[in-house]
Amino acid sequence: MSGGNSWGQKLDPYSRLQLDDGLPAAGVDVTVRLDISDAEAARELEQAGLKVHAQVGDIIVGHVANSTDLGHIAELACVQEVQLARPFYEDRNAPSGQED
Amino acid sequence: MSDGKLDPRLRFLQEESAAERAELAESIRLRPAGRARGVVSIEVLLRCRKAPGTKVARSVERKLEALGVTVLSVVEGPAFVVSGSVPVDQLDVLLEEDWIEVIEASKQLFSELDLSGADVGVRPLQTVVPTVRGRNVLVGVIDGGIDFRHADFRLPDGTSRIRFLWDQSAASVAGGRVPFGREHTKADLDAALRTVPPPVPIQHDDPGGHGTHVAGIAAGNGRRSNGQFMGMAPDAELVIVAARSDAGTLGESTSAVAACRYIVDRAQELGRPIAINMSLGNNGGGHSGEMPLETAMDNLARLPGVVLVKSAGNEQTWRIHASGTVAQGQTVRRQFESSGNNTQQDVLEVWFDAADRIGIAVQAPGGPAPGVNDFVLPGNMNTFQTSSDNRVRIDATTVDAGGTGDVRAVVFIGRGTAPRIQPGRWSLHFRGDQITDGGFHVWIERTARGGGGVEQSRFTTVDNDPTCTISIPGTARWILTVGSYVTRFDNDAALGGLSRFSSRGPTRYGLRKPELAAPGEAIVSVLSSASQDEPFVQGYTLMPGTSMAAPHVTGAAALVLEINPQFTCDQVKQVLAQAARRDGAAATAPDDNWGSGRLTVQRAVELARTVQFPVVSNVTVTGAKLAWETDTPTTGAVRFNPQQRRMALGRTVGSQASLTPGVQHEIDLAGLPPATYHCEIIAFTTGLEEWQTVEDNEGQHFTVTVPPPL
Repeated sequence: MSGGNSWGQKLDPYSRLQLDDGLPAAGVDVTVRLDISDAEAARELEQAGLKVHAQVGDIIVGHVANSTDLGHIAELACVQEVQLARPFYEDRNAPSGQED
Repeated sequence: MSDGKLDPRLRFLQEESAAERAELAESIRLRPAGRARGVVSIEVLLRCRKAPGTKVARSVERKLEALGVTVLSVVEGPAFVVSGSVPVDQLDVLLEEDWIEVIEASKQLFSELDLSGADVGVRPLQTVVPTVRGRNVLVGVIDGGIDFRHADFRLPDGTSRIRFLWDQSAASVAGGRVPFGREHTKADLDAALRTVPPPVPIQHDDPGGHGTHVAGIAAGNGRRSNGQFMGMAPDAELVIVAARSDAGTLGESTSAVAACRYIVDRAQELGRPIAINMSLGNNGGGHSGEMPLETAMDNLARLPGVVLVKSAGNEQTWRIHASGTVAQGQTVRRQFESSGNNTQQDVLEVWFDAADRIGIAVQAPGGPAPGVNDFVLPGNMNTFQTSSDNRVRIDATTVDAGGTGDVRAVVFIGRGTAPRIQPGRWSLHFRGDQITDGGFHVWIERTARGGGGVEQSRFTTVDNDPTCTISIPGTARWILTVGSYVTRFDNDAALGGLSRFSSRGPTRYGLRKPELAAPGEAIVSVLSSASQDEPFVQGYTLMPGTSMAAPHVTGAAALVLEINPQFTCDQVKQVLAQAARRDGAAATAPDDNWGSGRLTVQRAVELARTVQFPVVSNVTVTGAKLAWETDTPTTGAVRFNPQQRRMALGRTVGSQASLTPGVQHEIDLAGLPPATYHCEIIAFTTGLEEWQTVEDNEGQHFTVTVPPPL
């Protein structure tokens, strides 16, 4: 189980569930929080298997093609946490069906 | 018969003789829909209560047509809003139907479509010279897409007002500068819009219609309606990111970060300030701004000329939040209800202080009470199958979520091998094994809300906690989060009142959210030609939600940035907050429902012309003393927390003030318990209007160590 690994602590529960259930063939998008914000960290992440999409200070988003790489990324010393992409929903109001 | 529900002008018309009605209708500026065999029909707007026989739109339409109404559109909300026309002679028949609550003449309606703009006071700015209309300012929209062909997003010469459009779903192009999807520039869009020579087609539209509507509120120029449905900043240019949408979702947390980065980069390239709108969100997180996405937003919000605006969310009627306190040795329970049609995965996020050791257990409906060993303690995880073959996983292994010192436990309830999640009352049990604080919060993560929302579980009314329901990333500290109030009768809420659905603050750490409220019910804005939404009038449609409130503020922020392109998000926030009205139902503001009150744009623009925010400089730390200077006389304070991430999210353990106005300040923290404190400085102006500058060393804070006594 991913939570039992030393780097498993850096993964969010959604990533751990996804890893345990098997990543989708297309890979996953993740957000990485760095301990420090510098260009070297982005390079390290690229080498570990993250295709970087954007960086905003200490936050990097990108794509991980396979589950092994997710572990490699989490193992990096510069990585504080890794979160799996979570879906958003529009804030157009839909009737709740059970109005209070 | 109920007289109260009939528009008085219709009553006036009804009392007139049949022969005089047409002329009278014109004289009192009603909108005749036609005249046949001497019978005058009038365009009307009806509000119809959901009742037996009128629970679905089609049945409402049928019943109204049987009563003589020609129905043009039916918009469903807590009630139905129907536009159409009716012969004046039939009004009495409609009045007999108790499920028809309001009959309003459409002339009044048509003037009310413009009500939100009038309510927030933007119209004089747009029409009185010198106008303030968002010139040289960009408006960014991260949403489902845009109908770029619509006249309201084009200049008088027919070319596009959109400088860049990043379609994240489109097939990638080799050599493009976006990491995925496809970028279209204004030149591309202009080529697609031209008529001679033949246009170069662009494969982009907005079938959901949400992004087009939102962009129209923030920055539509109203060309198609001759200015009637003009948005807030009609002269601003646009940068659009069309998020990848699938199965009712609107992008993801990762693509939203990339979208924000992209929009800010384009604004910096053009040397323009930008106000970015995000009318989207979810509930997955601790609701105190700790998620990486929220950190990214806060990082961008520090830049001058960048304002990020987020809808508060419509979670208030969904019962998504429960909270409580568990004492040592005690077990408490919170229950949530799963409907009979829950085929999605339920996800519940539990957050509490890592100083506490709280065990979590899940009990299925009708299942046995959890035993001692069923509780999952911080650092652990457990997966099991219920007697109904649902799969439950409790993951409490995250014991320092995002460096906040909080436990984040996530409970996943999946269908497992069953066709659906077992209907009935599920229980979450919290056992206090070792307690310092004992407080806990639980949120039900949002899922796609099809079919009237029957799929998503919700807490029982007893266990529901109506606070802390702002959707993420609206809980990010430095961005501007917007609730909704009513400027039309469409909903059950009273005119001028806060929308029933509008999410409430504060953040889990007690920070005030939302910061502001804006019109968000039955707002008329641009209709995407690719959407299935009913037109309200040609080219425009009506939508409710904090999605619609946020772009009012985004547009207002663009107007403030026109006055001062160097303002930061926090400074724009202060200007809008200072200008906000607190009349009527908003008299309770400032609070966690309304924020600072109702958006009031003209006053905000006036304030933006004169405000001087203090500048903090020469900060030094000597021993336990913090000293700084300001450019004008100020008072000041230092807020502090030994945990840096908590300080960054606005959670303090205390503060000390320097109340004598001056330009040099010094605060000694030596009296505090020995520790290393992460500090931010706040400088307050001393005039009638209080403005403040928070200096936090670019988020790194000032570190002060208080040594133990000798």
